[in-house]
Amino acid sequence: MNYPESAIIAGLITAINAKITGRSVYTIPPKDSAYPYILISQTDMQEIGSKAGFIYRFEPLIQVIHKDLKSLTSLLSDMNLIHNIIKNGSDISVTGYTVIEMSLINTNRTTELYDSFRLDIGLIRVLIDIK
Amino acid sequence: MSGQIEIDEMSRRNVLAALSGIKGIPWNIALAKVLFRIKILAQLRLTEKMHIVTSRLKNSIYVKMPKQSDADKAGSGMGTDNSRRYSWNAVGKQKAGSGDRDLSTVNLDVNEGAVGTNVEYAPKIERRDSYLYWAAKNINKNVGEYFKEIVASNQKLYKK
Repeated sequence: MNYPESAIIAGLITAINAKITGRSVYTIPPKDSAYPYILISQTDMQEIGSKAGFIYRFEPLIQVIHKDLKSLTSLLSDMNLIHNIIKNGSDISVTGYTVIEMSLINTNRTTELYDSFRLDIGLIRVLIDIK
Repeated sequence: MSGQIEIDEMSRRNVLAALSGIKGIPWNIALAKVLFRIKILAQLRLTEKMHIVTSRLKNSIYVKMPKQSDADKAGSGMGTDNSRRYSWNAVGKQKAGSGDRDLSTVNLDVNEGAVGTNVEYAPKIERRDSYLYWAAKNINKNVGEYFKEIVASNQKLYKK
């Protein structure tokens, strides 16, 4: 068995960068990172294969994080472009593996209020099965 | 388009026997039990990931059913408190308090149930370090073993 998280993340970053320009994509955002940015998080893996071989299931949470928005337009545009990646098929390339399926689990938005600013966040949970 | 499946007599009897086994299951209680497993696992996850300060978030997690007595029945059977009122501890400058667990914005249909919290900072922790989604994904985890793992891990930390 392998733990192909780095290959999955690399595949996701490539796919997102191909769709969206001007947004940094992080797995760990640097201190004082400029907004908006995209965060790939919660990449917990489950193995769902059979005796025939391993199938690795990832359900990462892709977060689109904007700060102090006056309009939701740019956030929704970013979220739309990320959804455009998903076609319920082998929608990204993962080096060394075959992508069986990529599909949407759910999408949500949240707002976080801090003392001096507000974050508007798009949350996109996707399913990626690879073997 | 239509289709027809023909099965032999023995298979038909086996299918009917299997169906009769699930006929008497009270589905609302079964659903509530699943939701309580999620609640318990989410609470343990919060402990494991050291998100506990006053225990407010942990204690606030609530199972809601269209007929709340179903949740109460399942909850008491699993030894977990699910009453509407809950409380949290004083820690440092943070005062102890109490609140209402109700998920007032959640409207349920007949065959639905919900598990969640109304604490305002809950989504922030869920976004950064999932406990509810994680619990739903790990519903088959052995709760007793998981509890022991957390206790052992905390004891190690304490000894350090």
